[in-house]
Amino acid sequence: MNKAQKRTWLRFAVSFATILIAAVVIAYIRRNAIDIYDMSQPTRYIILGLLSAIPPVLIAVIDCRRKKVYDERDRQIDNKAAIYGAIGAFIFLAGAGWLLIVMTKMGSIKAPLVILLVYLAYFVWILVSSTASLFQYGWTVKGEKS
Amino acid sequence: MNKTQKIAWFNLVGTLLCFALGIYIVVEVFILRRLPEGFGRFWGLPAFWLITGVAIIFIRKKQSPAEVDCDERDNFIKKRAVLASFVSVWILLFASSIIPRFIVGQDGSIPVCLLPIINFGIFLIAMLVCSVAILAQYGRTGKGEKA
Repeated sequence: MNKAQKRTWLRFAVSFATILIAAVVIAYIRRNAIDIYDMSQPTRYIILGLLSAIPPVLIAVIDCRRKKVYDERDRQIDNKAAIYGAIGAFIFLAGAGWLLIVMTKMGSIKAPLVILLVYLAYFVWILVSSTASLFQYGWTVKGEKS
Repeated sequence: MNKTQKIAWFNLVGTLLCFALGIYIVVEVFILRRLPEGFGRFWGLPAFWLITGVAIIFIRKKQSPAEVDCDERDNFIKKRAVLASFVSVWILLFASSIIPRFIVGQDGSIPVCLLPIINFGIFLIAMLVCSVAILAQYGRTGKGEKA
């Protein structure tokens, strides 16, 4: 497994964990009918702002100086994966839009919810692109010799 | 003009047509509050098929039998154009999530029917950026190109 693959696995793990945690939190909030706006503004900023800043920072740390470890094949895989990621993010945004239209019966949503959608779309992009990269690498280290 | 340039021109024309169609629908349905009648309801479909047909013939026709589909330079240009469109997508997505908060306020709401419109608009702008970036890198004309 080369360095690019290791970074891809880390990106996959971070994005998967973020989406999973977000799904659990959203399900918990909906089930218990918790209104985020009941919290005071500083609490909201500390809990939501700081906690949601952790995954992008982790991704930035993982991606830091990644171009130096990439050879021609890795770059090609990365380029293809980025396109798959973009397609995945657009499908997610379209699906989320459709779901919200159905759930709210053409109603309305709170403006800050759009930020959450874009935030999740970013992690869907990373998750899909990491999965596409790992698929292209073959998931395993079989047959690789340095 | 090579295949990449032709595809970029086709995308550019298609995207601009989609924008025109979108503005027409917004003006007719949301501003004038009336549904288009007669040919006005269907003009987008024949226009789309006409452009697609012309583009297929235009793209398939080679400058010479020896012309390759794409070379190293074409790939490099496409890669940079796609990168530019990715950057524009994230800037637009970020802007589209921040702007509603300033317009309607922290506790305000926006209609959900706006979400697909925003997504479609961002997709079109990304296509537009990609096509323009490709054409700008080639210099817009086929000047000096020989197969």
